[in-house]
Amino acid sequence: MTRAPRVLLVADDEFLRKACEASFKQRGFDVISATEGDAGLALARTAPYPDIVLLDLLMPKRPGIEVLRALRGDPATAAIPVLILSNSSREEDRRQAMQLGAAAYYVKANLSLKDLAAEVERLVGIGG
Amino acid sequence: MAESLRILHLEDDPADAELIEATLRSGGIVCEILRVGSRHEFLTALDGTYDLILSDYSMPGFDGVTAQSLARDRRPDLPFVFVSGTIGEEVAIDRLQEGATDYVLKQRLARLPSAVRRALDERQERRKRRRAEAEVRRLNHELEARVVERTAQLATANAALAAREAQLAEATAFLQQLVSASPSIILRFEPDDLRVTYASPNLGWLLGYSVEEVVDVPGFWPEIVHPDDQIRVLRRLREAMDATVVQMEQEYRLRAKDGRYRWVFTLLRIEYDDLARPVAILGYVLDIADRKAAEEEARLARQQAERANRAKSEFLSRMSHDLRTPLNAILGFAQLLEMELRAPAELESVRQILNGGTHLLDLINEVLDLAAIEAGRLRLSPEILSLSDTAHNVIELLRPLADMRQITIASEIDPQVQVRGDRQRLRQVLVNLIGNAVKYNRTGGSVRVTTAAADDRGVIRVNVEDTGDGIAPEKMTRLFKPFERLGAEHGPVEGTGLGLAVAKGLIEAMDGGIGVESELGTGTTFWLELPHALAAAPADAATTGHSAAAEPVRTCGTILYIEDNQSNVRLMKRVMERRPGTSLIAVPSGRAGLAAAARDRPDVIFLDLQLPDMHGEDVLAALRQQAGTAHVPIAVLSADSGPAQMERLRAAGADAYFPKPIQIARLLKFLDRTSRGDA
Repeated sequence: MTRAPRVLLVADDEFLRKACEASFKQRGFDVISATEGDAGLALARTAPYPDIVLLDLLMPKRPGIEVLRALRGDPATAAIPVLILSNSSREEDRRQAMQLGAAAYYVKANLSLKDLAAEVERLVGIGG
Repeated sequence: MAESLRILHLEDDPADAELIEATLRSGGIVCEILRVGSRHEFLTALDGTYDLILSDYSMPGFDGVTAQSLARDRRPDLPFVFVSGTIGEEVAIDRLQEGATDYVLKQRLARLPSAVRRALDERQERRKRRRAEAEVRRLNHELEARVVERTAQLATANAALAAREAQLAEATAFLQQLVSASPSIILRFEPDDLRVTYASPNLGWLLGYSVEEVVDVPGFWPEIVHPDDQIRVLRRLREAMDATVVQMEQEYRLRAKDGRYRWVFTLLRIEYDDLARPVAILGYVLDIADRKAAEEEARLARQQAERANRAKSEFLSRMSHDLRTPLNAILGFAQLLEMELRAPAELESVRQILNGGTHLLDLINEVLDLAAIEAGRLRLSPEILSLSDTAHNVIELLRPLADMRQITIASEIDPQVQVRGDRQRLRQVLVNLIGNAVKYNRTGGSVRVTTAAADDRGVIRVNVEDTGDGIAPEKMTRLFKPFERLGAEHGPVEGTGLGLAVAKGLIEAMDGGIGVESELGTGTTFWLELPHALAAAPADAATTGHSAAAEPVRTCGTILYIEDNQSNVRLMKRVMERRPGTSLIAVPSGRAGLAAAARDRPDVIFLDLQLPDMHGEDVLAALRQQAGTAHVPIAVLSADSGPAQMERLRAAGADAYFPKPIQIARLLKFLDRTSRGDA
């Protein structure tokens, strides 16, 4: 399989979404994005499936934590690693996300998307 | 002409009529003529379909003027041509003015066909013109309708625009309200030069600048960052933009217009383009002067508390020294008396002094330990220990006490088991636990010391099981609290009430745990857990104790005692009386000690640490450097006990360390060993 790894970005934070798209595209990722939870879930359930999901916690309508629960609860998407991007550095928020099966939890403040893209590249193995 | 013309001809004279018809036909006009001769006939025929009306002017009972008038009323379109022999020039012009198309004199009939053609052409022209006019009118009308429609559309659009404008105005007002009521200043920066491109008006109340003083002024913002914060703040921002950081938080000081610096918190949101290049920075700046002041206050309070704590520690350490020095004299002389006295009553009195003094010493040591544990100042030297060696050592120490009460101590510890911990402190805890198991046991009872295999947490559990009365459940929670003796203070067993609290603190400092299980009437099991050390050959087994292989054999002749406290010197003199053949030289200071050592070549040196001129450690180092004393056995005697210090002294070359109050028997043993040359 030589297709580019596919990242699904679910975030309503415009700044974050644009910067993520730019950083991940530069790394050779195929990036698709949704600005709210339901659209994100629909994309996650549609072929070609994403290799990894980046999920913002703070979103209108369906909160990110619900999206995470739905992704983990659906056999079609349960195996896709989900990285959480959050404004909250509270330990209980982190714990809740990790307990629900998030692969990692990142606080947005001072988070380098360049480093994140490199980390994700390492996780999914680009071109693999 | 292709088609036949239909002509209505008003003529009373049939001959004229025939002539006229003939003239028309000969003139090439194909036509069908309906001739009428009276008013009645004319009126009746007038409604038919015609292209042209020809009319005589004067007729009996009727006349051309009336006919023209009737025709004009009923058929205004039809060309009306007079054909008359009587019409004069004047009348004819008059008729033409009234709307007649033409007139032809019967005397000049030859003109008739061309007059008819012209009349028809004119009619044709008129019709065309009328059609064109109608078209123009229709177009005008349509245009008007379109204008009306467009106007209505414009009005609707205008209304919508007005509504949208109102919405926009409302949104703008709301936004302005938000911005001006916001506790934070809102700014936008140019990423390249950090030029401020927008500043919310509330800038003024935090920093005193007006918007105009800040916006688009090159270098303004970097310039008002405190010089001590500038490099940190600006470099981190650059790094963040290079690393595609979207959101960053910073705290630093900004210079207000009055020149004073204020602490601010900034949240920056960095916007990037498709190639991850920063295009704009949005900043929220919050005043945190109060928080910083509170933090500073807390820091000062903490500093003060730390200072107070240090003062307390210092006080305790001084106290310990000051208490130990007189105790040294009490216990020392009491020990000597115990060796000398024979009368049972006197011996009993001396033993009471020794017991009381020892108890006081335990209390001081435990209070100090507890203070160190509570202050987090406990210094440990973790190493890999053989659990069975340590436990057997402790059991042997306690066996005399157990034997006195006919208590058996059984140990079932795998000799292979090793733990990680501080040798001295583990020993102290085991002395406490096994000692308690003996002290609080029934006469003739038993104590079992066992280990449980390491579980998956990687710890080893040591159980100390007794056959005492057991502990009531309600007392269990107070067991490890300081100064709790749970009623034992009224019983025969002496204790400080600190042992278990200290033991708990020590074991926890070694990353272990301690606990208890008990059954009233059956017995109690105290347990402790320590990190399991993977089995390895005990590397230091051969080097326990200080190696003295290189020491020459000597006899114990002259002892140099460097000590300023005269009561201690007197005690030592009395002790040395028990070893005839030794002479004691006592000097009261470090320098005097060094001089005496060089001069008198002592065989053993006893060294106090707290000397008036030098610290004992420096004296020790100097002695080890002097050629004459480099290999002389040196014992340090001090009230400043502590494992770390002991370690340091050993490393500096001390052969033995005797904490004050000195155990005379141990000191004599040391002397005996050195005299045999195996110090």
